[in-house]
Amino acid sequence: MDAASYQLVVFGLAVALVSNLSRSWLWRSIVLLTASIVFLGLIARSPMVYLPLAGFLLLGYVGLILIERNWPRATMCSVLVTVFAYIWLKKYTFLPESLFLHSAYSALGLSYIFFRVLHLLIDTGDNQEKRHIGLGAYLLYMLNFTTFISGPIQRYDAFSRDQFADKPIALGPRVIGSQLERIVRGFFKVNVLAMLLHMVQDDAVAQLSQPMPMQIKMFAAIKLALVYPLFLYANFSGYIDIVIALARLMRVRLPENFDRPFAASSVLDFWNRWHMTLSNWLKTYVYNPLLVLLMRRISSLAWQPFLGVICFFVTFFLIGVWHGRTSEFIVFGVLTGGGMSINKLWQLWLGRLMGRKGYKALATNSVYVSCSRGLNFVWFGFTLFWFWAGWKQIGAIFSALSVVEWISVWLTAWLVATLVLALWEWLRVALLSIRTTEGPILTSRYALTVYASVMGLVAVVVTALLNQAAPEIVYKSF
Amino acid sequence: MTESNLGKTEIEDAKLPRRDIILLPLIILLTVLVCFLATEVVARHYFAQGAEGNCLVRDAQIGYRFKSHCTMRQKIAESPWITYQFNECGYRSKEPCGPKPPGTTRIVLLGSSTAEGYLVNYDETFAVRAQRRLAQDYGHPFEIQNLGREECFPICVSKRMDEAMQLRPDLLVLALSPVDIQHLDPAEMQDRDKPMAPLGNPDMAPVKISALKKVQVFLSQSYAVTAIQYFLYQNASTFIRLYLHGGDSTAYIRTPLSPAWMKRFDAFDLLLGEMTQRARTAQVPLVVMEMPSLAQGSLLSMDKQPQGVDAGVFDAELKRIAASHGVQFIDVLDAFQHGPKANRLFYVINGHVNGAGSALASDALVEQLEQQQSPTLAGHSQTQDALERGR
Repeated sequence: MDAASYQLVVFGLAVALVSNLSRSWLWRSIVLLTASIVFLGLIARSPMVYLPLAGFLLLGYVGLILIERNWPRATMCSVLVTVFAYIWLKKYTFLPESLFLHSAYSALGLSYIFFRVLHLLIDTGDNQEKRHIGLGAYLLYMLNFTTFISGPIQRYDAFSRDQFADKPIALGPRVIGSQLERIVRGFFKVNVLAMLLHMVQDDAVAQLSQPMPMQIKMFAAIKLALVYPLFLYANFSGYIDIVIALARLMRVRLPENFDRPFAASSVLDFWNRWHMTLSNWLKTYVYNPLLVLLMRRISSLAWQPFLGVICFFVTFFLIGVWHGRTSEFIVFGVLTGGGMSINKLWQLWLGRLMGRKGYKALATNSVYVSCSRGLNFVWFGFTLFWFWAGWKQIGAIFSALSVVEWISVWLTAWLVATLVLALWEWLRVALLSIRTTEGPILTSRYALTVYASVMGLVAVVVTALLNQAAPEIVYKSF
Repeated sequence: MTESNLGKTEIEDAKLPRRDIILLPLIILLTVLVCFLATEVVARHYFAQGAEGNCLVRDAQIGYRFKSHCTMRQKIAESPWITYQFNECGYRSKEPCGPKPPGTTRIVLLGSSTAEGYLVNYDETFAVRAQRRLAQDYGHPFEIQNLGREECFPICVSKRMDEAMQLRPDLLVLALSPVDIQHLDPAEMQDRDKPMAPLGNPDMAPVKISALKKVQVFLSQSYAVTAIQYFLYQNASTFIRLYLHGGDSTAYIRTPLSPAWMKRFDAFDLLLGEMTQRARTAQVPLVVMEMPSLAQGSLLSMDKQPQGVDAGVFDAELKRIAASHGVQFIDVLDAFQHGPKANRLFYVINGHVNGAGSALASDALVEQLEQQQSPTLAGHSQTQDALERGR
């Protein structure tokens, strides 16, 4: 149930069906809450493993009540306690081992609940016009099974607007068709594409660790650099496709989490397209307040442009650190934050060097855009080494080739990524230009029906042939 | 209408044109059909089948046998081309079936396709491998007259005992697989002395089949389905899960054995008793060898066997029956347990062992024969030759 499995799809469709038996928000809420509890029950048979999570939720709700009742410093205290409780329950390795709970418990979904709790606490504290969130609504928002495992991180206002609407959003045959198509697409991405890419990655790692000719090792290293970002995208976005579609069939619109991320031509642009709900959350609750704070403290006009650089680093360093409890993720955070800051500095430097017009012309130059797109892809692939591998494996991988060979690998990977992504973008534009009076043929619902049929057929055959559990969703463990 | 051309609210509000209610399901069906046909075309290339020559000839006693000095070739979807050559007696042996050459140990192999080495090239059959290794181990020539013939199940084998004895063997080996016992119909035991029906009996009225059966036949003949089956059955647990739906014919791996299977074993017990008696009269040791089925091999490949299922239950019953007649039982199952995964040892759709499976079976056969039949195998050149000369 905690993977993009048949069970999840069938469960979600059954819940959607029951949920639509009545348009009443109360009925839909009862169904969603019951389904979410059943969902938790199907993941872990013993309710005891959820006790710490229940405590965390209770802590958040108590904080919310205190803020609503205008207790002094309630927002700051609640936020700090929530952050500490999260770090403690997630067992971040910088805390002493003796401090942790030693009985087995489930931290599944905690990371996403953490963002939702913080968002409620901060927004409720900031709101001039106080609102009351009942315990039922709070639990429904927190435990919603469609967003429980891996997000997307939905804001409460958006959730309550759809979930508690007297007149729920429309659900006609057209919407149902497009959501079913999206479920099939998501299922295919996770169970076929991601699975195949993962096999390529495993194969490349094995080749690097074996005594092989240098050319084969270099080829394996290039594959490794290029394949993991694609795997992660297929794995994560596929799952998100499924849950967004399931929620939509329950008349709730979840926010999009991806917007063709590998079309991004800069690191800054990439994080506007990748795991969008996470980066938007951090921009709202970390980047913006930090920028405002720094601008208030540092009044020098010469420093103003560089404040954004600092804020980007802090925000995206936190994104990196959020992903895991170990020191590898600190490096991932430093590289992610560093990439953002350097990208921002590069923009500032080019802007000063070429002037606004010159920079604008360069930024639209197709060769520059293609090279930047390739570089962003390869940079992301590089940072991800600290995302999927431990220190020992990273050491083994990087020691498989010399420094010069690794430089050649990354330069080749950049070239390949540039060419392939440029070709892909060109092809996409060319194919979408084939239009009738009603629009591009390739995005018509007839074409979408064909894609979905093929993907569904292939997914059924591949899953039947493999006869193994659905692949894990990488972002489930964060 | 293009979806991307519409705003979100427009999509939600827009009604589906009435024609799409028919058109969209039709597109789905058509797409699936095109995919199936494309797979069929590709599968026809990679899973080609064929046959060249026909060596079958009518036989008054056992329905049909192989022609003398005949060669035929066959390829099924998952096998390479296999050549079958038969000697002057229609046995799958290169050695002549006439009088045994002096100093040679002659083994007669009885059974159905398992014994014949169906879908295994001559040099890779377990019989020829065993023959080579025995000759190497004992330092004198061995020959195996392979009387194996497809669908010659135990009743058919019992009819061939006289034929086998005329070859004056030093040892008789009866190779069996679960399929042999499955096709041993206790109801036929009373008429077991009657001649068997020839192939393609013209007296048989054409059988009417239902539409569902026609679809099943069509699918079973489809190369695309064959390709899917081929990849599907590579996984032992998938194969077993599907195989266990096979009803009584697959119940030989379930514990306890069903009454129907026990009746089959009773019938085999009777037949083996008769065969043993005839072999004893001629002072020829008889050995029973069980060649595991793909299902047994798959179960051995799995980390955990499903509840109520046991790869060894068939083996144990056969062993018990053999022991009750004082016949040596060659246990091949153990060799398969320690060998590679089942998909490497069997043709996963057809179910017969391939060359690799035959090699395992041959090793088990030779090792166990050498343990218990060594005097027969080694002493032949002195004692039997003297007897032969005396005759």
